[in-house]
Amino acid sequence: MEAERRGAGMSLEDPVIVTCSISGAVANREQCAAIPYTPEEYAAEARRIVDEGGAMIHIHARTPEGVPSYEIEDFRAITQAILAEVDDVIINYSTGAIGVSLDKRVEYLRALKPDVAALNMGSMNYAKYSKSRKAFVFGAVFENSFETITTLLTAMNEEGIRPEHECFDSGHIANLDPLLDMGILHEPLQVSCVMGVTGGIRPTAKNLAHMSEQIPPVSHNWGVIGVSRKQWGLVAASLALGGNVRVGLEDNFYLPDGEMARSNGDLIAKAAELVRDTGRRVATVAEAREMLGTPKREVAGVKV
Amino acid sequence: MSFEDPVIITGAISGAIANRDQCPAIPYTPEEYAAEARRIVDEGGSMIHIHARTRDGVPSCEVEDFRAITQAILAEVDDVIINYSTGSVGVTLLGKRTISLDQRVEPLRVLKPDVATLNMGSINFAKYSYSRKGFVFDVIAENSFETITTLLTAMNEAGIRAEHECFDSGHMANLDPLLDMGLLHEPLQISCVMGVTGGIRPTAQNLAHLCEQIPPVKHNWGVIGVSRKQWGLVAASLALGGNVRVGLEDNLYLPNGEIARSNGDLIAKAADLVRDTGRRVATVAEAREMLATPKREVAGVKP
Repeated sequence: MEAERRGAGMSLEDPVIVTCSISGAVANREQCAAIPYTPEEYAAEARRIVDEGGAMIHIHARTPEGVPSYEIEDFRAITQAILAEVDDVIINYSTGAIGVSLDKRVEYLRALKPDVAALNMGSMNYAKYSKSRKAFVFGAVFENSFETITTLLTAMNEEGIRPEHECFDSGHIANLDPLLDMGILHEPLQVSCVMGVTGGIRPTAKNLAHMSEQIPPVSHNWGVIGVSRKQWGLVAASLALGGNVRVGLEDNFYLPDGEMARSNGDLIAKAAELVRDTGRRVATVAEAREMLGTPKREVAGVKV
Repeated sequence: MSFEDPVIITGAISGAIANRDQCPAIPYTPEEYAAEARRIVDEGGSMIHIHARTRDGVPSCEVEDFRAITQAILAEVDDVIINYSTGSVGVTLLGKRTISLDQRVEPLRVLKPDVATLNMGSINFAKYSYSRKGFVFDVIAENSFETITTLLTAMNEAGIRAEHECFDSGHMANLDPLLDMGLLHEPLQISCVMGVTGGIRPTAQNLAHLCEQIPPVKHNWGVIGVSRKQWGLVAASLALGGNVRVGLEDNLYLPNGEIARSNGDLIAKAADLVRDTGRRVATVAEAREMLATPKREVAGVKP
């Protein structure tokens, strides 16, 4: 019965998993004072996230000075501080990076075994364009070859970590096909449509519907990750289409009315309100664990 | 474009990945390119998309190889739109060497083809075998915005029209900043490339989705279907009002599963489909008019 309900992907009847991208790696505190740097700050933000209805926290590590970090020790300290503060929450690590070796990214997964880890599903340009300056602010090639993808995926499978497939374009979803054929994906899949990065698909509600239709016909959960202030329209679209949502200071600092968030809690509270206003229900952490197939277990050395 | 427009048929004459063991009709020498060009034009092709090769068939980005091939083609046929590839995947994969951006720009500056392709983003470019359950090859086709604007600037300076090759939805969106920068000149020429592992799935619905992503400026568009799924995509493009590309680079087989004896076979079949969907094949002159590429000196060959 459970399998049957999940067979066709998600429906409007499913509770909504609200994920929070707590810190990111690109923005800093000059742009938004609420971005956490120290483990204690991560923990205080995690408390606000969980109190407002967040069930999963997506983590980019930083040193206590705020510098993006890929060191095991920084991931460990942040994760332990969060899990000491909140009862339960699904721990999700980023694995995406431009200019950080693959070994390094595999290392912290193996050492700390988060519940979930993000897996970028293809290569693309990753840029920011300024219309006022009529120039690119930055432009890089975000490299995620199939070799990189299968290496990360194999490590995740070996450590019992569930991959969250981050798809920035239609073809990134198609890239699931060979992996399914190779037997290295385990249902239910967890698919996120990332929209709003220059280089990826345009962030429109129609394109989100298109993206969600590209997901292979296997059991899965899916949601949207909207980058920039266009996020809120995409959150609404995802909720209407039956998807999950991610908000948080990594993706967008601003509330729909244009005010800057004072914490991740503000963003999660607003997302939860939208969930209820579209006639859906926010998933508890326990429900989210059930939906995603991530039973509570030891993470970063913190016993259950 | 509309359904009333004549259809520009492009022949992808040789490609850079397949070889003659796979299909004996693939041209290697300039003389062979010229003979294939003759068949393409006779059957209704108005543009020829060229990857250069050395006489032994090895993919090449050398000016001399492009020149010899282009001159041989233009000596053989009255007129045809000359379109150069600027992609590097074939040379990287089979030439077993990396190729710099300068090397990709050089044939453009020196030979000034009518049109040159411009890959509109980075993607994984792979081939997966369902029977072997493994990747046959897996590379990253790197086309950063810096690469794109460098190639585009060279094209603009040499009066070459850009054919924007889009392998995914985001590649269409990548036109937006270039339009804003004033680097693009209407009418745009946009090709939806479908069937490469790493890009968008090759379905008719996805082609309709892709053509809806084209910015609202004056443009021509068409489909480049890779692999045998090409024929369904050709039909979809014709029904949607688009142009089509076929040729030995993209697919060696006719709809009935027979291997093509030449590019001419593929162009003839595409022209059949054009007529059978109630449309009309564009002449070279019409195609030049639509794409805004008046006849001019190319590779030193005077008009």
